[in-house]
Amino acid sequence: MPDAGLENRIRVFRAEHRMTQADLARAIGVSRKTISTIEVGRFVPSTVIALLIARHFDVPVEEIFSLADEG
Amino acid sequence: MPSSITSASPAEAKDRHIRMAALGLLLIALKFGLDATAHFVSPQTAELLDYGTIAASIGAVLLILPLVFYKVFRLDPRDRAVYFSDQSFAMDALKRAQVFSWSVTFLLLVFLEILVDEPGALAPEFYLQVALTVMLGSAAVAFLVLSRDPGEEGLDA
Repeated sequence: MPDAGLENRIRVFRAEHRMTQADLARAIGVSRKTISTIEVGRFVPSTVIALLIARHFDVPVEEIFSLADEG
Repeated sequence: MPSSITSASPAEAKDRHIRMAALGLLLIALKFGLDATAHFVSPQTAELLDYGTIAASIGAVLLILPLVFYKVFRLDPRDRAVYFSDQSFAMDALKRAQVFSWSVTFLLLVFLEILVDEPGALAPEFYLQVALTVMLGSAAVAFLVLSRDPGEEGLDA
């Protein structure tokens, strides 16, 4: 399997919804550090967390997360 | 610090508790390390080290006991699913720290197994104390390093 990193647009969606990391963390039931480490790519979230984030912003999960080699 | 962080959510509490448990493990490792060191020093110095082991033990209890108290008495049943969820950065760091600790301890035990066959080997409890020091200490230090905070980024970031 090729080693494709995970990219995300959480920061963009947070800015659009005027949310801090803490706001988003509280909304989906995780810690602020979990959100911040996902944003900077230090932590690859579980499918459940990815779906919770997508559901919170009311968009498909692919709009927030994508593989780095997708261009 | 935003008010949403200071009013602890179960997820924030869990992160903080894992860190406290790691610090508790570090103190227990220190206790075993001092016990192991006592095999090489004079009785007077060993007596001084005893005070260190007592202090480390009390510190570990003070760090870990509130966590047990929180889980048993303070944790709202509605928050249990979030609190005990393993889907967080801190839990991921803890798992990676445990894997690192397992590897280090395994190598150490192989080394000690060779060492005990040598003449002049120390009492068995010394080897157990060394193994416990390394196992707990490496897990705690690895967790504290892996879980460093990348910093908060608010709306303006």
